[in-house]
Amino acid sequence: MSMFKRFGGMAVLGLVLSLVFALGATPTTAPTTAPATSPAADDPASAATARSMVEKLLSQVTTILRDPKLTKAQCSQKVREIAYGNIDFPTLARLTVAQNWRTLTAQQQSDFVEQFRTHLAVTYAHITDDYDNEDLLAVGDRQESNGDWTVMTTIVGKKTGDPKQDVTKVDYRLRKADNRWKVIDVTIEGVSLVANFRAQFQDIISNGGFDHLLQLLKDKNAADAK
Amino acid sequence: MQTLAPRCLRLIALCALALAGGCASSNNVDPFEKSNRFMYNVNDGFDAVVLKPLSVVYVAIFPKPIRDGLGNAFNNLRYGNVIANDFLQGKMQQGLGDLGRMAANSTIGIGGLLDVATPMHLPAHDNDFGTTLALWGVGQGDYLVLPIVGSSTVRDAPGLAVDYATYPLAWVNVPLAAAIPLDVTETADARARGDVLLRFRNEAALDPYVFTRTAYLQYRENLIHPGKPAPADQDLYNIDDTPPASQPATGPSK
Repeated sequence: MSMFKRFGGMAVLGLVLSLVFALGATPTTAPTTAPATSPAADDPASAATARSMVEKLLSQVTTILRDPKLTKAQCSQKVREIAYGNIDFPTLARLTVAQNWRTLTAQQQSDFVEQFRTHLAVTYAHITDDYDNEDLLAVGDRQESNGDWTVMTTIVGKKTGDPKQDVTKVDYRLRKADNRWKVIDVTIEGVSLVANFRAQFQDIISNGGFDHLLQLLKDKNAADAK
Repeated sequence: MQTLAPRCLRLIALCALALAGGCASSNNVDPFEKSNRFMYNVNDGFDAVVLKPLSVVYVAIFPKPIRDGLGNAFNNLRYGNVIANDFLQGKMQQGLGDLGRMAANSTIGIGGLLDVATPMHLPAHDNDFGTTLALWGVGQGDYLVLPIVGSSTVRDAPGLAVDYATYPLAWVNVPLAAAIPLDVTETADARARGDVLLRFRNEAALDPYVFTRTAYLQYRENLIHPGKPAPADQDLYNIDDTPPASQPATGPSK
């Protein structure tokens, strides 16, 4: 309970808002990078550095979230599209199963990426509904030893109801592939999406094998879709 | 909606993970997993039967501005813990600032209901005895799930006693007729604040127990060493699946 006391209010919003970036579109398109059209100047795809990519991303998302003419469903859909274009799902999915990936067949691998993406999309379908005029700001960046970049951002709330939680730290880890930066992990107040899913999946795989994990994901997706 | 792994496979699983040399850290830190899972389920039941309905009633009775005020007041009452640990950690300036914060909120802020300190450049800090012990060099210790309180560790658990010792109402002879409603309201308020996250966890996680454990341990680590990536971090993002040479490929964990 004490943990959730700290996680109340804005931190919760921060958690769910940032996980917006883990949304996926409907699983009809193949899990490859975006089509090779030349991107507009304010499009994250054209960003030279990881930080400028995140800044453009946050700016696009904030514009959508603050647009008074959009319904919540439209908001959610548009943000999902942005997220889909800027997250590297195959890498993300692969990182959550770690060394088990090599033991999988190609069919299992693509099934898993699909199920994982659906799982995230279904779970986070409505989080943008709670947006309450927070600022999304990039505040720093650092290079990691393997060439990735981590961009630090904050979500700054405007309420003073729960002062401890008005600022939520969100870090995005980006990897460059095909000459553009894509998100491969989101870390909110120290809690990493990849680490968390990896811990869960490792536990499940070690107790029931990979097929058990895949089946669990399918069952959950089917149940949540209703 | 929870996934309960067959307990008979646990020992085999532990060995397998240790041999795999991969992300076995979660099991090295949770040797009490069996009893922790049991307590987790007990807490979950208690939450569904007692805490959640309580928070629903709380939200129904009190409008948002009042709930915000009550939340402020409860945070303020508990702030003695932050102050004490500031000083224990040698953070004198922060300690004095926090002392001023509690004083300002308690007086000008009418018993803590209003947060007047933040606009006075006395922002809220988060501190506790678990952090103090960590900064004094105590290792994280094993993961524990405590009754009602939930996630904790061997290092964090003593902090509950310090939290109680720095709670002003622990020293004042408050009659039960007032103390109980106060505690109940504080619990309801905390539960209501955590509701979105708890619902999210229960819906999103395939294994809510592991989700909670991982999130808690990472959150604590980040609180103690903000912004510093954990030592195993670089392996987390390594797509080359060869286990790192530094990992000892020995037998079962302790």
